[in-house]
Amino acid sequence: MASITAPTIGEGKVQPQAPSLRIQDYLRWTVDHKIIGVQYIATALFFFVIGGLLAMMIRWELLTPTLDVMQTGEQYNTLFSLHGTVMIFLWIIPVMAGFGNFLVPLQLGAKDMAFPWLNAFAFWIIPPAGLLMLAGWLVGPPEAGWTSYPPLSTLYSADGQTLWALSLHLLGISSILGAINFIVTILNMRPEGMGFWQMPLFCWAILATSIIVVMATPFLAGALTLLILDRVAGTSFFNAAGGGDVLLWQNIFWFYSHPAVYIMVLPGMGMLSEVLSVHSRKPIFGYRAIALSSMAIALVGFTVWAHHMFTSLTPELRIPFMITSLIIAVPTGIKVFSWLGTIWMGKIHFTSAMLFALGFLSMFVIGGISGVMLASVPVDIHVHDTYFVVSHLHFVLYGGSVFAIFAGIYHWWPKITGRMLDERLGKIHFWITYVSFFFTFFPQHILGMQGMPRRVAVYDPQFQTLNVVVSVAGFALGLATFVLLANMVSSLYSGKRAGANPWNALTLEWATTSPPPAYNFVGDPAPFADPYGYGTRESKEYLETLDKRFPPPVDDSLALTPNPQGTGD
Amino acid sequence: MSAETGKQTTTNRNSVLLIIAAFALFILGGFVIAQATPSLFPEQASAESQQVDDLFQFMLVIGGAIFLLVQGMLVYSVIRFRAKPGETGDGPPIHGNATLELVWTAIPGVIVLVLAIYSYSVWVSTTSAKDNEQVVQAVGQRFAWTFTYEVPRSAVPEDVNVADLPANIQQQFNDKGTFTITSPELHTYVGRNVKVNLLTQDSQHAFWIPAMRVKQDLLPGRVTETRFTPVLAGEYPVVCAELCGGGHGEMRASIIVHPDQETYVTWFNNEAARVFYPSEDPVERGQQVLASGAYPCAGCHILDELGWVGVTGPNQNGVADRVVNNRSPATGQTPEEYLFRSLYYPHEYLVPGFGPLMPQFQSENPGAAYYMPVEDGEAITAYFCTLSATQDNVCDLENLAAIAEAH
Amino acid sequence: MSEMSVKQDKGYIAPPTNKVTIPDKKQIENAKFAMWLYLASEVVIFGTLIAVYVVFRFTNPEVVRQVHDELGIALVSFNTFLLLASSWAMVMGLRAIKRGDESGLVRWIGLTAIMGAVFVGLQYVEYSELAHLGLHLGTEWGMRFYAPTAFHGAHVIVGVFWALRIVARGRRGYYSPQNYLGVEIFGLYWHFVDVVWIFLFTIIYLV
Ligand code: HEA
Ligand code: HEA
Ligand code: CUA
Ligand SMILES: [Cu+2]
Repeated sequence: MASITAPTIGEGKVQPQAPSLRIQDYLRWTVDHKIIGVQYIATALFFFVIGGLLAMMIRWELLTPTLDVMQTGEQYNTLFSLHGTVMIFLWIIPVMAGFGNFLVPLQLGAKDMAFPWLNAFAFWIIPPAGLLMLAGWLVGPPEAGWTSYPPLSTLYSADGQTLWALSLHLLGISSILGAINFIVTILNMRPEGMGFWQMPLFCWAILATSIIVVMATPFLAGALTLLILDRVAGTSFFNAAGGGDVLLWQNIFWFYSHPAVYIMVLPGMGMLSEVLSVHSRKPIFGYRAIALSSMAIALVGFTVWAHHMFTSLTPELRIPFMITSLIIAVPTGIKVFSWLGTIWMGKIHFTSAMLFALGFLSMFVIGGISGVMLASVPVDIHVHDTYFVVSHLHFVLYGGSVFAIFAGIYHWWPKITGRMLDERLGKIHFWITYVSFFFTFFPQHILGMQGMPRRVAVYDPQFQTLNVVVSVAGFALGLATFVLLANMVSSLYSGKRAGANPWNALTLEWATTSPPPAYNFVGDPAPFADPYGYGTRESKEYLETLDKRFPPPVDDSLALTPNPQGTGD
Repeated sequence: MSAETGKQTTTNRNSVLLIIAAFALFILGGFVIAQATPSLFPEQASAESQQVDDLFQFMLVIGGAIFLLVQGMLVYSVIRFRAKPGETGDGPPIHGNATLELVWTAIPGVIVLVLAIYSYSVWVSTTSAKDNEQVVQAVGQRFAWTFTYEVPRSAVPEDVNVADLPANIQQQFNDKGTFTITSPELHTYVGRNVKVNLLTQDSQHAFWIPAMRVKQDLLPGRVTETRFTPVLAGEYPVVCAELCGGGHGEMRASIIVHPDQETYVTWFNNEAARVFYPSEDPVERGQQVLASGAYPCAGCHILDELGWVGVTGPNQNGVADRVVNNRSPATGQTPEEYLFRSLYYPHEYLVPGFGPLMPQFQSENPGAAYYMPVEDGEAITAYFCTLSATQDNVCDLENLAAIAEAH
Repeated sequence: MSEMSVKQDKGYIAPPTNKVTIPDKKQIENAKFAMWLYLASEVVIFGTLIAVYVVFRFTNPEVVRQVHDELGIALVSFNTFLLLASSWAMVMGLRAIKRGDESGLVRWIGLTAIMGAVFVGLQYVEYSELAHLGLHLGTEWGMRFYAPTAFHGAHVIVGVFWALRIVARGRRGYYSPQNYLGVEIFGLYWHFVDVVWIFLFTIIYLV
């Protein structure tokens, strides 16, 4: 396969050396894409904990069928409104942008993103926007759900709703700027010798995602503009009494938000392709099919939005949206089966990264199947706005995106920090997460079908047993996250040295030190012709050259030198 | 033919058999999983629910089979293809297989086609208009349901003179030829085709009867509709399924499916009789008005006597005592004045700890929202005056009549 | 390269925070491409706002006709002409700098800025006239009219400031026949704002 045999990576030139980065380097304005990537990821993790804390309070309240932890229904509504918004807009989307920032230039062998300054700017919008969102608590927090349907969000909500909209506006601008940067970088900055079809699949996924962001996020901006005008300027775009229409919001919001769910999962799918191939030591199965199916999903994703409106849309229009929604299963299926084909006959190494990737496969499929059930109008009519939907969305978002993020963290942590994560803790993290995840969210299908609506603090007592199961499993799921956080912290101080290429991977980010130096590479890196060309003699040779150039770290117990790799100067 | 190729063919045939057997197993597994369907849903109380459940069951067979296929391949792979400890080699450099990729594009394609067609047929047959429908109007407001029925002029009994009926009822006869009675429950009977017209007074709501598998949003500025045909007598929950504020979880009601037309008609005539033969006693009239669900009080208040469970507003159990002991002295108003005015100007009479959420009723314009004729206001006040520990009336009813008159 | 590995001993050296270099060819392509992508997303926002108006136009033709009768289009026609002319001035400015005529650049782009500013001023006159007719933001037609036009006006204002910045830089001799990327990018933006206005003018005033 590989036509270029073992390219020489700046042989004979100065030996690169891994820089030693301190915490302070990450706390200030810089235009280095790697640092910005880490800034994104760290910020997002912070908001993940906030969103998780809110989820824990939701589950605590739902232990009993009456209001007890919260004083009023509004307070409960605030919990899930902010939980949903924070998780989606301040955790999933930024963390994916973070991985994109760190990895895309490295995988392309570029020195940085196309517009480094813009990149930093896009990131620095996020922390203030996040604070603005949480500041809602000071003025009456938003309580209309992450979907914020008017007139509840206009006529019946406090000022925190305005802050919510402003904050989303800022976050939207941030992701549009980020996406423009990604598209330009990926299309224009590939190195000599890397055509589209030699591009790592993660870059393909980021490309597809960024196209969605550029075309869909402005719709959100438009809708939010109108919402803010309705709230503060006395217009009535969404107020029937003043000649407006509530369905206008629903249509624009979902025209953004359905494509947005693919913004949330496609980068994760990109990471999955990398992790599965590397850790099963086998080329990705059906490279082109996976790359193109991302594009197909991005495209079809724009035609399905009204499947969130099956109970409000004019009945005649429901069927076409059902058909397009069902069609989305086909490109997604191509990906799932291609991944199965990838690990089939491989040499599967059960690293923590691989476990989470396999966990994604097994859980995302459940969410996908429940998605297909939701797409069928008569079934959705019954389960719409019930816990069946809550279950679906967590299976695809947690079982999908978050599992992929965890896989990505375990996989790329060594590259980011130069140190390994503890594999044993990683496995503990995986198994608690996997099992408690299933028991947190699977029973919710049944609750929904039997008649429990979502977004309620007070529910029919007959549902209590299952809710207790869900809550208890939910607490375990929350605690499991601390295992990861602890692992990360202890790795920073005492983790094993990683070396340049701990997983023997072929993509370009592994052909430099860990962490990579400023400007990433010394000289112009030549990519290995096939990013997934495992099992070939050429790839073996290439990996050996890499090892020669970046000698793997000596056993830690013996290494007393502060910087064991790259001793050549 | 050499022995070698002979062996090849047998292994090929074996693996084909194996694959077929595995698929048969997955589909069988799907069937087994789908057996759970009945226990996942509430009882099938409508003709539609049977069709929806069948569709769901069909999807569960397919979904279950796909689930088993994917998990099966995963589990098989991780067992069969795990790297032995210390093993460092790579897997074979396989990059794809066009046939296989075509197959796993085409088969899901066919499956979703079948699902689309089946779903469409269920959709058409469950939602098309039926003959001879009973039309009920359901009004949603934060956080209660009210169901209204039209009584034609012909149903007025012989001994009742329309001219003697309350003014707002005469007005309705003049305006639309019928008058409206309300109920906090939706009543119908087995076998009757029902069409519900849905409208909202404020935010969005969604009308959901889990037992009937129907759901439809209520949209401000529009009238929406939904249809079903009950097949099983009984009482089932009606649930609000669209977030509408703090009391969304409490916004529930019931549908009562009478076993036959006779029992339904009996109920209906009883309700109508309340209007044709209004009670002389304002207290009793007040209780009847509230029990009929004509006003959405139940959505936000607790009142055990009438089965109200809302928690957004103040608890009304024993309200008369609290008014006499605290509120009256604090405001310098008589209890009847305080209670009566609280109905029409709730925001001036906020109970400490509660916000201005109650709708402002008005007695001027029968066509506008939140209309409460003075007679109703008087009767409701009179009834509230009896909500004391001793069940005694704490008010001066004559003074109340005067207040109402002046209003 | 070797310089870098020397520096590394002192810790991590991040790339400089602002490079003022003459962009190479690739960077020019990148910047223009990025601007196009940005404008694509702007098209979507304007599209949303315009669509809201168009739906109203179809469902309430009588209201719109009444507004047309009362308003007249003399003022906006002039304004439209002004914006078109400013686009032309913009092109002239770009042509000037390509030929190395720096004072031409300053003059033409200055003219662009002035015309943009006058446009905004006249738009304000138009708004007050509408307010006189009772067509304020709270009316059914008003909200659908002000949202897209004011959003457009905000873009013009941004454009005016951008033009002034180019004028300032041009006077300091920042641009040259080798380096006029900034002017070109601004040109893309200004043309876009112009085209959006043509759409708004046609949809709101003409049909
Ligand atoms: C990462 C996010 C993500 C992803 C990837 C998806 C994927 C899908 N979603 Fe989901 N969805 C959400 C996030 C996501 N969703 C959220 C957040 C909501 C709730 C919003 C709210 O109201 O708050 C929601 C709600 C939602 C609804 C509305 C429910 C309702 O409110 O009533 C619907 C209805 O059609 C739907 C459908 C689908 C479909 C068809 C897919 C498909 O893309 C799934 C495709 C995948 C597979 C099918 C599995 C793999 C395929 C195979 C193994 C091939 C063979 C399979 C078959 C032939 C079936 N989703
Ligand atoms: C990526 C997105 C994402 C993620 C990761 C999660 C994670 C979780 N979600 Fe969330 N959820 C949404 C997106 C997400 N959710 C959305 C979009 C909605 C819809 C909102 C709406 O209706 O508007 C929703 C709604 C929602 C509901 C429905 C509320 C309702 O309708 O009334 C529930 C209820 O159980 C729930 C539970 C949980 C739980 C238990 C987790 C757990 O996985 C969280 C685990 C927590 C952590 C991993 C963080 C670390 C833990 C701590 C810091 C806490 C300390 C630990 C203890 C006290 C044990 N979520
Ligand atoms: Cu009404 Cu929820
Ligand atoms: Cu969707």
